[in-house]
Amino acid sequence: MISASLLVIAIVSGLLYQHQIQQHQEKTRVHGVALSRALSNADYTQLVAGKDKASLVRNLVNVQDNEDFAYGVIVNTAGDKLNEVTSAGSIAPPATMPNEPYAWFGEHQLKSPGDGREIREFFAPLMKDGQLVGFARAGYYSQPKNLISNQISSFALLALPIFLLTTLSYFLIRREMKPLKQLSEKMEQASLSYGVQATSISSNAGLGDFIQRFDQFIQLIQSRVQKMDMESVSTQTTTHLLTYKQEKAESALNAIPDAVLVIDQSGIPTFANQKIEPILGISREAMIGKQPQEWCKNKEVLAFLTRFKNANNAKGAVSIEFSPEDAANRKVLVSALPLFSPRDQNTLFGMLVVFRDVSKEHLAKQAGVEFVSHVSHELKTPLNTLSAYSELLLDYNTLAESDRVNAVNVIHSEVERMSGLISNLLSISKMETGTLQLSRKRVKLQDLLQDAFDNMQNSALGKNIKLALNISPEVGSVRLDKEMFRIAIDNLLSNAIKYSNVGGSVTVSAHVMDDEQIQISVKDQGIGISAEDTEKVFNKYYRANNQETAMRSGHGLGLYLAKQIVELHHGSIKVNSELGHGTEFIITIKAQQVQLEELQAA
Amino acid sequence: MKRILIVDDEPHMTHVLKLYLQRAGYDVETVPNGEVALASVLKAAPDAMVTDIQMPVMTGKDLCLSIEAQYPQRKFPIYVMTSMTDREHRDWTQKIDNLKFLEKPLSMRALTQALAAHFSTINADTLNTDGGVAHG
Repeated sequence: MISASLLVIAIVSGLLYQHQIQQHQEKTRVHGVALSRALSNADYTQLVAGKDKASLVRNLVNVQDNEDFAYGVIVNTAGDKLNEVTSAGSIAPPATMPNEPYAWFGEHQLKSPGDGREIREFFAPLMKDGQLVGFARAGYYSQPKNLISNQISSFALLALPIFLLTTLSYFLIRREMKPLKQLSEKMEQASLSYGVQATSISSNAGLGDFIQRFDQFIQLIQSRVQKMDMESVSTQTTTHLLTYKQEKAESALNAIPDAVLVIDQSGIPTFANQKIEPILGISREAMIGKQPQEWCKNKEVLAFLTRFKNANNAKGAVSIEFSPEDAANRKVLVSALPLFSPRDQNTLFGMLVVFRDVSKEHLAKQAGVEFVSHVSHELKTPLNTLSAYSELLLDYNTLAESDRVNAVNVIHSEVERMSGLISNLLSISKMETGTLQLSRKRVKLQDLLQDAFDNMQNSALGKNIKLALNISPEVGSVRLDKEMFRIAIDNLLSNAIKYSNVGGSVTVSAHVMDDEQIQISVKDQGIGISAEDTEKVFNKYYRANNQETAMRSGHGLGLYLAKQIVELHHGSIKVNSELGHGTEFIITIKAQQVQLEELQAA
Repeated sequence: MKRILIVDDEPHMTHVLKLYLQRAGYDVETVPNGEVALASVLKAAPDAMVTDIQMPVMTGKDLCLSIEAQYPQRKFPIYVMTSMTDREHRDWTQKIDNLKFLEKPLSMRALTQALAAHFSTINADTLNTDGGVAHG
């Protein structure tokens, strides 16, 4: 770049010099021609005459102010100098003058006899009376004497700003180009990274290359933008799809009856389903993104949850049980399952914690335990009597006949009691496993009720309870599973007697309703059932929680079984009761339907 | 004749116990619940008491605790018939001395043997004590 600027300076200087030379030559010619013509026109005599300072020649020469002027000479045709004016140190060289008139005006090159400098001489003829008498010669030095030295300072003045400007602009351009170059390189790198070949452009690219590259880059960018637009559309679609899938997964997680909590590796919950709040009593907002210490008040559970921060503790599922703060009667089972990366079984994403409300299971378990306890008690009570009476019969042969008969009767009734309980248990078991098949037969309801009634007479008499049977004559035959329906009636009757006070009364009645349904009622004047308990008396294992009930043996199965049996017969059972004022159980079965079935069977 | 108090709400049981123990040579009184039994004990202490737990009006547990509270000088043994020998009964019976369990179903022979064994030791003690006094 600097050399270029120097070259420019040289060219500029050269041109300037040449121009100076041309100007000088032109000036010399004008002056020479003018002087030679002026001398040619002057009177010959006068030209030759005065040789002093006031001579015509000198005057004419002095008109011109030309520093290259060498001499002005008047010569005769023979070439002798008749008069001359010279500049300092200059000597007019001898010259051969032309003879032919066409060449009388002209110029030629001579050499100074002294220093050999080139002299440009202009000449013109001198005439006198129409005759050529001599020539006027005007000599000028061809090379300007001080041209270079005179002009050099102006050259320098000219060259310096050029040089400075060039350098400045060079550096300015360099400076401006630098980011462009960097940009260019970056673009190339970017192009390469996009897999586009840009090798046709050299790394030392100029502005043109830069523009080319920029153009390429723009095209590249455009194609990229198009591609990205397309990708954006596809990404949006994918996002929608993912959102949909996520929502689907979340709704599935929300539909799970258990509370689900996802804890990341740092032990902070990232997801909780909707069941969290009802089961734990802690809102989802209070848990998500917060350390368990902030929301978990139960120390056991907290220890359980924080334990899994360590991946070594997280192998396999572990669970504990606890009762939530606000509900001590509820039981919640917490299970934690480690979430391993599908690729690497040693990398732990976090934990899946499942909270399950196991209160019902607990109650069922407890009820089951109580049930077994009750049943074994219920079985052992008749067994106790059987054991005692059989030992009595075995050990004492000398018993009175009445005592012996009584013992056998007791044994018989206790066996009945046990078998009743066992058949109840079996019926329930069958019903619950779905293996119970009703074998319906035409049964005279009157006979069935009478039979059940008679069977209870003994136990009623034992408590001095008055039994009454009141069956309206229009109650005819119905299709029933006799054995099963008898269990239901027996259970209602034995309950009525059991919960009656000594000296009370129990009434069994049956009649046909207006809508051809048959209603069977078992009514007592016993201890009654509280309003709270009436809702639950048909529940399995349920026994009213009061002193009066606790005093009476029972297993919470009789009414449950009665309801199940009645419903199997497409009937319904309800209870009307008031604590302390007795209870009435009412069975309603459809007589109409029974008749229809009978018709169909026929 | 040693007097035995039978407390049970099951008439069949009281009947057979009475028959059997009378034949074994005891004087037998039967009562249907704890309340009547307590009254009987306070009126005249028996030589032994056999009681059920599950009974109306006053349970066997309440009867035993009431006797402990109202008749601390008791010497006669209490036999509790139960089919529920679980922990809840173990808890309250531990506080009461001279109380034994009779597992249901009840063996009459086991009961009479237990009574006989008890009364023979009592007799021996009494004889020794009497002898001691006589010699002293």
